[in-house]
Order: sequence, then structure tokens, then C-alpha cells
Amino acid sequence: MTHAAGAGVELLQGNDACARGAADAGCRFYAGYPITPSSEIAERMAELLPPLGGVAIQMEDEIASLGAVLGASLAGAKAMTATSGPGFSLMQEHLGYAAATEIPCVVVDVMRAGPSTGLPTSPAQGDVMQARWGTHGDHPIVALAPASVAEVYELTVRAFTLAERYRTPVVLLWDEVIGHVRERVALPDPATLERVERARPAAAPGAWRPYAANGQEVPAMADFGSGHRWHVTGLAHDERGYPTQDPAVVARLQERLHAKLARHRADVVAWEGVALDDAEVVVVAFGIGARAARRAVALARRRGARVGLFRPRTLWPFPDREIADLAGRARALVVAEMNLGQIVGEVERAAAGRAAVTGRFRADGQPLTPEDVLEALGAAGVGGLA
Amino acid sequence: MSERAALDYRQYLRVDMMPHLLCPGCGHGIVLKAILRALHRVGLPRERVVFVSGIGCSSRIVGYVDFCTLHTTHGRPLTFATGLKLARPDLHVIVITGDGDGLAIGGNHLIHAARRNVGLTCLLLNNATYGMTGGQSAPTTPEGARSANAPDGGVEPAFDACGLVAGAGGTFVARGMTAAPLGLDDLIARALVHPGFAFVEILSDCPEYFGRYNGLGRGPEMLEAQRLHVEGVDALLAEKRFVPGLAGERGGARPPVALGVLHEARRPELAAALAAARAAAARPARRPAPPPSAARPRAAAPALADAPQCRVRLAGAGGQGIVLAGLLLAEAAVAAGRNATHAQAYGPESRGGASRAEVIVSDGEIDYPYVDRADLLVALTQEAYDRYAGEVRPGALVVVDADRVAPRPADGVACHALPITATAARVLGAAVGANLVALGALVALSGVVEGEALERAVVARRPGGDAARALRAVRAGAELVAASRETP
Repeated sequence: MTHAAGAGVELLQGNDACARGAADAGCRFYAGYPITPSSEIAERMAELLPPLGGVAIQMEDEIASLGAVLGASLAGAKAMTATSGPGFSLMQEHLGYAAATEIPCVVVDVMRAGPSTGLPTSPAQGDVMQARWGTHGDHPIVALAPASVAEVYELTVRAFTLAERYRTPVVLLWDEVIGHVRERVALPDPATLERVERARPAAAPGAWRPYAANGQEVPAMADFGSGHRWHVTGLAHDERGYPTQDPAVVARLQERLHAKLARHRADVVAWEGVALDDAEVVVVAFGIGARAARRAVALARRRGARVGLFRPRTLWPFPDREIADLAGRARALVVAEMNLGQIVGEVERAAAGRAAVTGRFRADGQPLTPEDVLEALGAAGVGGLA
Repeated sequence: MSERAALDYRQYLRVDMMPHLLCPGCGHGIVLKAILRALHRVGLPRERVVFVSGIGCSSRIVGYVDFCTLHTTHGRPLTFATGLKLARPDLHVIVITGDGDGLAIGGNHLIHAARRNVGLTCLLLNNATYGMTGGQSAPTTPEGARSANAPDGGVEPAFDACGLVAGAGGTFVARGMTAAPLGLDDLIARALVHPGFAFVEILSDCPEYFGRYNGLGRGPEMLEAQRLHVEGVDALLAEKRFVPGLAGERGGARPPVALGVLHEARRPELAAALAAARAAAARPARRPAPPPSAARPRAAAPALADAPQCRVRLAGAGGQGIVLAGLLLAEAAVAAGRNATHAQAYGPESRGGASRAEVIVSDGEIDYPYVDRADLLVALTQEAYDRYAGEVRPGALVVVDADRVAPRPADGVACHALPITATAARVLGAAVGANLVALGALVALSGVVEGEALERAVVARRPGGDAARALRAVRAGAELVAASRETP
């Protein structure tokens, strides 16, 4: 995350970096509804998209926002919306629709303290499970969690890549601090970015079967208005896209929806490790919590403690194999998160008793601090930190 | 007639989706045929026609037409349709919705699509009930009519869908009925070519539920009742044919249901208006240019490096420009080739409440963007001073506004009480520049960045839209420091 000083170096806010990343990734449609602390994304998109020939619109609510995004995506546009916890709740039905119909889209949730209106200007990480399980039914989902302004840009671009490649909704989750902090960044030349587009059908109109996987997990997708006439429905559907209640066909659809992410896990799951090689105790943290943990690990290492940091960049699918591997090597895992215990459950499940798992939770509207993490390390038996 | 005779409906239907799920006697099949006749007559390019629907019996008909078809969520088809139309303005978007879908759960989207004048055709099939879920009351169920959950007749009045859409700004509003299907062709055809939000309410029949619950007979009898509607619903109610028991008990006269084109207007369609605005604004984005970088090379820091940091906390009240002052400081540092972060804490108020900005300047990586104990503190209110004066490092430098803050002496801390508000008032004629005066003083006292770097950042950002005025404030702050040094 270091950048040479010079041309292109600027002080950029996290939410601003999201809008820049989206525009550079080829996003040409944005729909949203104002909500703190995400509104800067909508404001920047309203500046950035029209000169690029795109559209940014404020809808009547968050339900309409994601609906419009899905409509635009079906028309062939890369499309995004951004919101915060309460608005994210309103989007959940359409998140399920996008998963079922395999419409690529990017949904940003800048997390604030809840539940309900909570502390609208204060950070939290309480929507981790909402991102995974907030919508109805079984469904696959991708959620990415950047921990710096530079990474907000990088993972926003990445979100479009994954959304298009796997025809899936991708959620970007960060807390109010990451959304509003300003950091020195040097964004890459957009021309050097890998811009991934969904596969379009090679078959002629009439010969293409919209939901036939043809040996791939991800079917090609035609833009509405491109000459292919096809049906999109949230009902369970067969390979033509027609509604069906045939148990075998429904089971095949469900399995494929999950398999397309499971089989490409290596492409989707990303993480960062800091000082893990000889670590006896490992902090697991993301977003601003990972920044506090990074500082704490640096301070503890200076005092000779063998501690490290595991930072998921992908929260869903959860990097459980990596945690299982860590649990086999470290004595204890300390999960630091700004809620009263969400990711910790995933870590416990993955660790399966092979390492002690403890949590340092904070849900008072304040960011986790390095002192919080040091205290948790001390409680986990790391000596000499006082 | 020859034109109609030439139409083979099957050319527009997904025959392999048949049989359809509509009940015997349902009016929606009549509507489907009218839509196909209207499309055939108007001759829209078939590959650019898109059907969008929600959830309910009427919404299911999009599954049977051989076009691009989108069967969405309950109540939301207009939201998807808006996105489709804006992303591809050349598409002809036809929304099929029902009275529950379009007026209850989706009522908000209906009025906003009308207000925006999105260029699409919205056909609302009104059968006065929720058919798919078993005949519950809808917002269009007439007062007094029975339903699955109003066995003795409901007490709520019904929506006038056309009045609602016209009031919200729809530019083509019409009403037709399945009892007069050829009239429907005309209304739908006119809606299809209307350049804006075109709305047609189509009175349809649900013999299975609404008809059965209200003793209205089967499909043919319900169509007959619709015909009588044309002459006035009052007569119907008096005869107790449409809603048994209603007129006698409530006695209120209902206006006759008007048919035909009820409202027509011209104003810019949304996609076209957005395109025109884009063309008019064909100028670069108004994003402020980042300050020019001094391009000092900086070695890549190893993980967990701990380079020296200068931790700055600026605190005061919302509206004092605390966040802006921090931003200028961080921008000055970055433009000077250093690393910096800027974090803020604020309340929900745009003005008033506590406000805080924290800036860290370093030549290495900055792990954590918040300040625990500050090297430099600026406090512009007594409250901010009381809260943060104790959270400074030994040797810290503290700047307070002498006009608002009474500092306490503290060991190992250099506290500078300067007349910041008074200086802002003197130099700018207002207290609103106090943040810039304080920033100028802080930089002059601490040297955290060079004064020139700060001035370049001020010029680049132009706070308040007036760089010269902002520079006057920053320089006045620096001069306060110079004057205080000269004073014994």
C-alpha cells in the first residue's frame, strides 16, 4: 500500500475512492438514496458519471435504488448503489433477487452504529451477518472489506470484476471511519486496470439457452435489447429461464448458484497476513479494527511478543480454511470487531477447538483502538505488554 | 378489420410456456390480447420491446409473451424499469402491474415514476383484489365490498389510480376496461407512442375471488356489470349488483368511473432530460484539483515500520470549520511529499455539536489514523479544551482561542492563547474564518508543515470559494504568532 510520491499523489477520502474506483472499473449507472455515512459516494458519482455518458440518479428509497441498478445491469451497464445499515436492510429483498437471477451488481454498505437509527455518524461493523444472511433463502454472496482508502479503490474495482465474472451481487462493507478517513494515495492509471465484462452469448438469438451452464458454472448473459429474447424471473427457473417446480431442476439451479463461487474460491477469497510466521497469538480483524490491530501488533512486536494479524479482505465467502490453518499453528486467535460478536463465530467454527478463540468487541460507536487490542492480547496470555 | 385479421397472436407468445395459470373467466387474458393487438398495430421494433412486471396474477402474463421479459419483485417493477430505461433509452419499456402491486406495496414507486416522467408504458390491471394470495382486500377494493379478510365488507375507501397518477405528474393517463376490449387497443396503442410516463388503468375481473365473495357471478356476469359501469356506478350500487349491500347501508353517491384518456400533457421525459443536462454540462467535473506535489521520493516502508509521527488534534464546535482545517493541513503535508491521514468525528448536526479532526503527519506508513495523545492540539471552544487538554503528550503544543477558552496552566505543555475569533473578525469581518486563523497560527508555531505548503493547499482548495480571503486569514494567524513572540 505504499506509493511513490509524485504525479497522481493525492489526499483522498474513502467514500471518494469508492466512486473513483467504480467509475474507473466502468460503472456507468448509479442509483441511491441519501444516508449517512455513505452519501459522499452518491455525490461523487453524480459528478463523475455524466461526463462519462453515465447516469446517477437519486431514487425514492433504497428498495428502488437497487431495483434500478438491477434494471440497468440487465440493460448491459455496470451498476452500483451505496447505502448504510438501515438502507441495506431495505435492499435485502433485491439482493436475493440478484442472487437468484444472477444479475451482476455492486452494493456498498458503509456501516454505522445500529440497530435502527443508532448512531448515524459513528462507526460500527454490525452488518457483517446482514451481508451474509440478510436476504431470504439460501444464496451465495460475496462481501469484500477494505481497510484503507487505497484498498477501497482497489476492492471497488475488484467488486465489479467478481460481479461480472460470476454474475453475482457483490457487497462492499466498510465502517464509517474507512468511509470518511482521508489518506495519501496514488491511484493507478485507469487504462492499466483489468476491466472484466460478463460473458455475452456467442450463440445466435433463438439458439441461446439463458440459464444453461454449458459446462461452466456461470452462464453467458445477454443485454436486454441485444436481439436475444429471454425471460428473467425470481421464480425457480429452468435453463430457458421459465418457471419450474420440478425438484430435480430446482436442485440443479440451487447447486449451481452455490458451486459457481465455491469452485472459484481461490479467485474470490483474499486476505492479508502480518507477522504470521512465528506468531503464537493472532489477531483477526478487518476494516478500521484491522488498522488498530496492525498498530497493536507493531507495538507488541517491539516488546518481543510473538503476535500477528490475519486480515480478511474477503469476508464472504469467509476464509475458513486459512483460519483452520492458523489455528493449527497458533496458540490463540483474538477476534477484534466493532459489534458484539459476529465474525468470531466464523472463526470459532473454522478453528474447531484447535486454538483458543477470544473476542474483543466494541459496540459503543467508537472505533477499536490499539489499546483495546493490546488489552485483548494481554488477556490471551501475551506477556510483557504493559 | 383486415389488420386484425392478419394478426396471429402466437407469433408474440411463448407457446411452450402454455398452459397459462390464469383462472377461467379472468379478465387478464383479454388484456393480454389487447396488448398484443396494440403492439402489432403500432409496430415497435420487437427486439427493443421489454416487458417488466411485479408479483401477482397480472404480472405473470409477461412470462407468456415472446419479448425480453423481466418478472421482478412484488411492487417494484417500476424501479427496474426506470434503471432499464435510463441505461438504454432506446428500449420501449412496458410495465404490467396489478392494483396491489402498483398501488399498495409499489405505490411509492408509481407516484415517483410519474413525477419523473420516465418514458415507459405502465398498464395497471385492476381487479379490485389480491387474486394470487386468495382474494384479500386491495387498495382498490370498493368500500363495503367483501374479501377473504373482510367477510362483512371493508370500511376503507378505494384509490382512484388515475387521479393519483395525474396528480403525481404522469403525462398520459387513461382508463379502460375488459368489457370493452377494442377500446383498450386504442388506449394502449396511444400509451405506447406517448413520449413520457403513460399510465393506463384497466378494469379487469376476478370471478374466482372478488366475484365469488361479492355474489357477482362468473366472468360473463362480471363483464356485464362493467358495461353498466359506463353508465354510472351509482345505478349499479342502487341495484346492488356490483357490491351487494353497499348503497343501502352507506348511501353515499360514488362518482361514475370515467373511461378514455383522462389527462395528457407534454414535458421532458426523464432519460431525455438527463441527456440534455449532460450535454449542457459538457465540462470537466468540478472536483478540486489536488495540490501540486513536491514529489519528494519516499522509501517504501516495511510492514510494521514505526516512523516518527506528528499527531494533531483540532477540536471545536460543528460549523467552525474544524474538519476543513484538518483537511487543509493534511493536504499541505501530502503535497509536500509527506504521508498524512485525516480522520474526523462529528455529530448529526450540520451546525453546532462537537466536531473533531485528527491529522497524523509522518514520513512512513500510518497504521492507525486516530490520535491517542496529541503532539499538537487546537481547541476553539472551552468544551473542546476541557475534553482534550489532558490527552496530550509531554512537550505538546496547544493553541486555544483566547476569546472563547480559558486555559489552565499545565506542566510540560506550551499553551498559546491567541485572539483567534477577534482576529478573524478583524481581518475578514466575520468569525467564520477562525479555523483558518488557528491553522495559520498552529503551522507557524509548530512547523508541522511549511507555511508555503499550507498556503498552496489553501489556494488549491479555495475554502469558501475565495482563496485570497482564506489566505488573509491563514496569514493573520501566522502574524499573531510573530507578534506574540515579539511581545516580552
